[in-house]
Amino acid sequence: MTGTPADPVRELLDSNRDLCEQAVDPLEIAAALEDSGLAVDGAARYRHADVFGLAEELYARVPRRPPTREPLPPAEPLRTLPLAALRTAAAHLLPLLPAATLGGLPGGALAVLLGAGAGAAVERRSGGEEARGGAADQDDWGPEQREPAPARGGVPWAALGQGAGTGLLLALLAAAAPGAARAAALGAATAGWAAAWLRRFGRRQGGAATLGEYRSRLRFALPLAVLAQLAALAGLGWAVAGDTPATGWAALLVLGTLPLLAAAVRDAGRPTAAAVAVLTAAAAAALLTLPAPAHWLGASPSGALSAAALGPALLLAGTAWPPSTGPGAYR
Amino acid sequence: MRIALLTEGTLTNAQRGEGGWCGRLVGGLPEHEFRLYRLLPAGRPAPPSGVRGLHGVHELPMWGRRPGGRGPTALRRRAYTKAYEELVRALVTPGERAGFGPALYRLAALGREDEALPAFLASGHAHRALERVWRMPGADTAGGQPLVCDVLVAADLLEQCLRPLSAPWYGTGPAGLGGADLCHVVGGGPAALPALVARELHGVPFVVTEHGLHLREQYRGYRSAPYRWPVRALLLSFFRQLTEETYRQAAVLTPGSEYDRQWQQRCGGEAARTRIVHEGTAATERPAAGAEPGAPTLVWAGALEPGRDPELMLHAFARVRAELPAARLKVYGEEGAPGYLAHCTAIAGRLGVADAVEFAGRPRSSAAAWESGSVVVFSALAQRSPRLLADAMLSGRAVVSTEVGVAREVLGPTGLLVPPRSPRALAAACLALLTDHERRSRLGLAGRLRAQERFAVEPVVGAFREIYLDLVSRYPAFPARPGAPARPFARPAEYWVSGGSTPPPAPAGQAPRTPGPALAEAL
Repeated sequence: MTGTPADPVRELLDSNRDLCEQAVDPLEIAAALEDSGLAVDGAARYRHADVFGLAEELYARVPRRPPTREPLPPAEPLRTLPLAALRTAAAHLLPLLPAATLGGLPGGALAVLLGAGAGAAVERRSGGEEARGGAADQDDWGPEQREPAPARGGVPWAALGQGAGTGLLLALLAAAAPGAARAAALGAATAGWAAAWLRRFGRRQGGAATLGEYRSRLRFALPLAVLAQLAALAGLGWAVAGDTPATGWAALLVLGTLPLLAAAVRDAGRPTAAAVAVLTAAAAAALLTLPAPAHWLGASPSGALSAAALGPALLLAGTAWPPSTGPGAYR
Repeated sequence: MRIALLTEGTLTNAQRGEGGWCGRLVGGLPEHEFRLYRLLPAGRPAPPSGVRGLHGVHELPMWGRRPGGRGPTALRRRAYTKAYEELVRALVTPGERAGFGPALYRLAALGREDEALPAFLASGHAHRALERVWRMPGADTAGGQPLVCDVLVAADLLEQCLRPLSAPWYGTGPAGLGGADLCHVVGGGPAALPALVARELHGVPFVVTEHGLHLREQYRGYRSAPYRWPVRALLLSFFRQLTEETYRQAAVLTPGSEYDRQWQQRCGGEAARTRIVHEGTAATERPAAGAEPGAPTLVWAGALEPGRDPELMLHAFARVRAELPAARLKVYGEEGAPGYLAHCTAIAGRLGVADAVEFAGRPRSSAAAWESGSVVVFSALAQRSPRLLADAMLSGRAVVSTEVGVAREVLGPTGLLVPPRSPRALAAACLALLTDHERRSRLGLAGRLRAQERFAVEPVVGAFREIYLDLVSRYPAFPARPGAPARPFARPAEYWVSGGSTPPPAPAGQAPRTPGPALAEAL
């Protein structure tokens, strides 16, 4: 003859061990037990007045043991890096094309337009974590059809401005030192690569224990990326335009690093600052290449260009570095 | 009376039609001024509320990208950080639960002063405060210490949940909650936050109506959410504290069923302030279903998912078919879990009843579904909502259900109840009804009458008419000044007859009578 076992809860506990170990609250166990078909008379079988008492006993009897090796939030896959490089390179080569072939004012204007268009096209939108509610999206007969969230509207002014500034800078550089311009546009590929790597690296460090540890891991990421970009630019310059004068080299290095810094600032949540810096550099460069100031300064066009872009680039670097060590820049 | 309806607008309208529950309430009480305050998902066009007769609709985008805005000044940031730390401490330290409410109101007060709350909650300062408190000794981190990614996700989610605190709704003007006589929260959860703040700030009492408890849905939903354990623990703790604070402060709780009432009581809802108001449905007006189909047919209805256990129905049907070869089964509903329909079809094939089972998908109307059978069967493992059950009873068909959740209180003696997971018991109950026409029609009629009595719209409207009047008679028209006791019945009954925007002319020799909020400000 089989009577009721001495400890009926034990069986329930064994069959629901995972649930009990991972529950954060007795009520969570109660909800799960009710979902599995346990009602008031079921609780009575375990000598409890209601499901809540039973759930509390289960919660108290099982030590908390969360799932081991919970996965971290996924980072972007590796293959996005070459894609990002291609996108950035395309966005820089496109405005260079009319500037190099047509030249002069029409070429420059076309470069600005194309740059703005390309900048807006490759702009990347990111969002934070979106909360999900309970099981509210279901009616009695089945899942309710939900319309997908439409793309966010609005004109991407910051991306347009940054693209236009980039186009103008490239057009000016193409007029001053064609070889350096080609190298700078090609170097944008490595800038895109470096920015995507930085983003990915930052995301992958989410497993750090504390924010302090996170910062210490990220502290030298941006400077390293900038150094790598400079080295890549030097290599490209040597390969594509070996006979460029020193001022052309300076312009190449400054303009080639600018996309990386602007991308870092944009990721940190300040796209307007990035656009303003690039536009300022472009405007100053355009001003300095006008005949009167150029004659007055007596500098070569590419020298004026690098001098005009250096200030905004340094400012961008200063703006990008502190937030790039925090996790907020990689959402 | 001016009544503010607060609701989270996601559980809308599609199937409930014409503004749903709120629409029926507003339509039934034309003597009151209703304003609707909705929390909506951001970045998506708002569906129309569908409620007619409202005096205003106010919407706040929630869930999704944070609207822009500046953070607090360095001086005020310390106050913000302190309040936020207290809030988090109440969530993660078991001994400090009492600090939740005060910290919430403190954050709301700070946010009202300079509107910098959302930006602060998303800032690195908030992240650091959250991490500091979360990793403190004494915090409940039984499931492991939070990592940086957990801090970020949890801070994001908390920011979204707390967005109603910075809604521009807390003025005393006609559009503000301070100008309302009472708040009515429909649905619980974050929708109760504005009501809590309005109560704290202006002493406006609030009623909470829940059909399907928000907290229980969170517990169920977060089990499959893609969050790590620490985030789940923190967020569920937040929802539990919020729910407990809501139930503590609510003047009246109106759950939709006895089953929900037990949950509410478990979370701190006092029995004395609780009143069960069944969810009214317009289907009570519907005529009873017509003649039964020729072959004895069982109807099963609901989303096809493991929780509703159509497998049990199929197994029971195989036994029914063995006794009664003419029996047929119609399964209505779309698949709620991917691949589940194929799974059910395979089971039906394996049991050898595939030719008698029809998977009919979503029915044209629920009435048509009930009419196509002789007996309606529910085999779910959990029945949280009485809606479908009541709808089936209204058709006048006999109902068999597993005895879980609300089934017993809804069906009462008018249907057959069987234990869950028992094909034998279910088959026996189905057979008993299928073979006994007289009993079937008697139970069906009794069930229809019972559902008409309990789930009609009129009693709901009447219940809330009483609740509203009862509430305003117990609460003063304006917040008592600090120190002065609140005086019930301080206003004559005529005060509550809302005369539109113009106050009645004041009698000679008496101060002009202004509406409550303005008077409150004058005081």
